[in-house]
Amino acid sequence: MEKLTVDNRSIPIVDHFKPDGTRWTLREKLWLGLTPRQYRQQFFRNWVNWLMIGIFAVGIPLILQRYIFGLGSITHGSNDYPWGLFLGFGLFSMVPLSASGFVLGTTVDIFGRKDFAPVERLALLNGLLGYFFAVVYLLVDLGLPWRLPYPLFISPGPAAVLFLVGWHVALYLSVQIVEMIPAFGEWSGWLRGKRWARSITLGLTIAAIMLSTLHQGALGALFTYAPGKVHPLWYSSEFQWIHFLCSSIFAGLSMVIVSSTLCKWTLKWRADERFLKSLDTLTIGLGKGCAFALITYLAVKIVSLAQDQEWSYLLTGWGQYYLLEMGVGVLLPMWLFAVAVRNRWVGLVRFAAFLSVLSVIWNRINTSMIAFNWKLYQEIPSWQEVWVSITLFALYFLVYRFILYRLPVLYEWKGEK
Amino acid sequence: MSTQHTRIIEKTVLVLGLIAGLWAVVVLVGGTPLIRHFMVVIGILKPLPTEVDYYTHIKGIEYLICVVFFVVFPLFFRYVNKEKKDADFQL
Repeated sequence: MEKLTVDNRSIPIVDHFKPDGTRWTLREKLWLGLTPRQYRQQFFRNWVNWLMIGIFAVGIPLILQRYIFGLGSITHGSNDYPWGLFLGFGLFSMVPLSASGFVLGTTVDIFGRKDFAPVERLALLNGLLGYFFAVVYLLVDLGLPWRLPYPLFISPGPAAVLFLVGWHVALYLSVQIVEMIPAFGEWSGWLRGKRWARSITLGLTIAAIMLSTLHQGALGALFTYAPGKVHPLWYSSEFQWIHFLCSSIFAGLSMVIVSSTLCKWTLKWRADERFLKSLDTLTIGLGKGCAFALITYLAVKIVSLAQDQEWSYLLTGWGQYYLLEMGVGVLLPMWLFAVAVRNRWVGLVRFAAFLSVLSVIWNRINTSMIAFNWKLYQEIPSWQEVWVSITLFALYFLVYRFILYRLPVLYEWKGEK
Repeated sequence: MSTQHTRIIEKTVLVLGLIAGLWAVVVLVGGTPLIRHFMVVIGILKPLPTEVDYYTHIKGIEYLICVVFFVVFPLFFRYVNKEKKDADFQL
């Protein structure tokens, strides 16, 4: 959608005032400066929205079914496989992909790399929504969302890893909401809120680093609950936490590359020159970070194989599958990133980032589902479970797009800041 | 035989026995590979024919992997950072 002009009002909205000097109301900003009829028309013109409607038409009744008749009515979960796709994909995969927030926050606000500022808010938003929807997946899995305060406040289990993860996620989610307040403050005109959030940016970033690194590791540590169940090649009692932490670094960076690429392809009208002109250079810089994180991850994986004396497993069928994951999911993107950065092939960096994001999802599904209970039968999720997972991801996509259309994430606010 | 003779014989046997015992201890512990061979046979010791085997023994293979990584990472870092600055962005 190129720049639209409706009734002499220039959109997209980038400041508080219309061309005629009057002020945009909040309602008009929400409608993107369009009338409800015009908004509806543009909504139904987009084929992606029809796809979303199709997904929701089946997915929402399935979610209702889950809450009325229980988890067993839509999933293939059992006592053998208590963690299905909602956690395997929704929680264990969404969380590493949301590491973008703390990684870019650190780069810009701690290391002073202000040249990465054009993608910082995108990374923060990506982190915030990724965590938020990881919690949504968790709540669909657990049920009884109104009981959420119980494990946190009323009946805590401070010795449990899950307690640690729960508190980390809750705190980090709060930190990320505050980190996004400047963008909301500029858009809505709530400048006091923005000034307050900016004044504590450094503290927030440090808190984000601590909370995020701790719980990325703690998610890995969750698997130490089931030492005999996870295949030894995907399990390491001493290194599991660092596998999860280390892979989250390149997962977060790759996710910024992927989301910024999608924005460049589909939301050019909403982005400003600063974002569009600097994106190729920034993509190369992010790709460089991914290459270094990937080689470190590879080294840690090999060390853990040696530490646990798991060489013999490599000669089995599971070992070949593991080597396939390491080859396609780690070595290949690492090599692609290195070659692409060296030659400044931005397209190849983007391809490597897509591959890297898929490889992290693959690794988490392998650890939590495929290599889980490897001595038992193989878990195959029911179609309803797959559909609900896609529905929640579609909701994540819609909320992401809704915010990008409005808040100054891909562009700088022109009005008073 | 007088008591004095008996004592001399006893002392001589004792000294010879002591010498023989010392010799046996030296043979087992030091001069020959007998005790070492015995420990290898029962699995307490592993043969270390090469330097790599020795470092693997004292530090573990993971130590060697880390040492390799400390060499490989700077090389990889230099390779990636050697960007072709004059090259334009290519899609």
